[in-house]
Amino acid sequence: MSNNNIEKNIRILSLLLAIVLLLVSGFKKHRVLTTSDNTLPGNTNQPLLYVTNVNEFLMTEYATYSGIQKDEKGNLIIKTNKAGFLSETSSSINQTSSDKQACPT
Amino acid sequence: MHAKRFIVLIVSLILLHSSWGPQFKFLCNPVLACHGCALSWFACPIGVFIHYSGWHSFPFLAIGTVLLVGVLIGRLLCGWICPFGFLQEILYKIPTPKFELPRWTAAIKYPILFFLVFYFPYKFGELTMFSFCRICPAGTLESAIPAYITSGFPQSIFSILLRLGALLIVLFLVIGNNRSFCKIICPIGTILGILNKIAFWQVPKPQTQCISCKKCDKACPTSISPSTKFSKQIPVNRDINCILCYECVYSCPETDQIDKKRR
Repeated sequence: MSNNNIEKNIRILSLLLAIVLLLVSGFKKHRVLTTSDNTLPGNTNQPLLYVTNVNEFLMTEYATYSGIQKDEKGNLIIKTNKAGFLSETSSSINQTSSDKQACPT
Repeated sequence: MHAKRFIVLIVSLILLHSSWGPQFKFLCNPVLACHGCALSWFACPIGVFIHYSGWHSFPFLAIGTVLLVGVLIGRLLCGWICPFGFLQEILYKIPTPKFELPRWTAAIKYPILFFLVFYFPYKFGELTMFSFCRICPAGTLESAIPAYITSGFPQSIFSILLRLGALLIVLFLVIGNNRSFCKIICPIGTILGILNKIAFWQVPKPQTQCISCKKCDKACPTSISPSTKFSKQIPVNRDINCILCYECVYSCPETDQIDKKRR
């Protein structure tokens, strides 16, 4: 097989792989624990934990503002307020607020 | 810089970094633009890779997007959209002594990609100090410095020094050597550069024998010596550092040499 044919085949295979990855991302769900942020006013001291399936698009968006953290047991955790909305302090689990400013990512 | 590319770079800089624009943070735009910037429309693939490595998850969407873009157009976005690449070309115009980088520096980008984007975040978590985001010059300019101005400096003096030190080194490099960050550091450029080798998009080859005037070599911002590729009838963008800016094509005096239909 000539070099041109090898290159062509790799190109087509890479394109197919990219399409497969994008298709999988459309269905992929991540198991994430959601917890109420007891640091917010009005929330109880006992954090509630429940399992949420988060799709790939939302996971990518969470990655842009550290919306999800990994705990010591390896679980992915989202912190929400009492109403279930994402807490603005979600990225403060392992960071102080000043650290968060230092690295917005 | 060709006027057409200059206009596209200016327009994309304004369009992709404007507060009135839509928020597509669930999609990756494969150029070095920090998603921590309040004006950014898209997610940075490197930032997403780092977080997914920390989460021990596979970034199907980010990898799929980068792979798709890379296979279709290679590093075209580096030359026509990337705001940090644009800044480098502007800074290079500052009249200072210019220098060449040693050959071995071309290999620096591979360990940077492997260790600072995937391995260290996987090992120590996405918030580790040993991740590319901590030294990313685009992140420092677009997100960290505005955050320092609006919210004050963080307590960790080490992180400030690391960020600003890395930025100063990169600025010194790009003033003396055009697009040196793209050539020796940029992790997105490294991934897309590898995909340049197989990309569908090709910079057109000359139709007749190259006259070796070397004007394309002088015009090339990444110094990949397009004349040698042209003389061997190899598409220029098969080089890992080619950003498909088309400066070689635009500078060619033998306009008939290059198939204009494919410009």
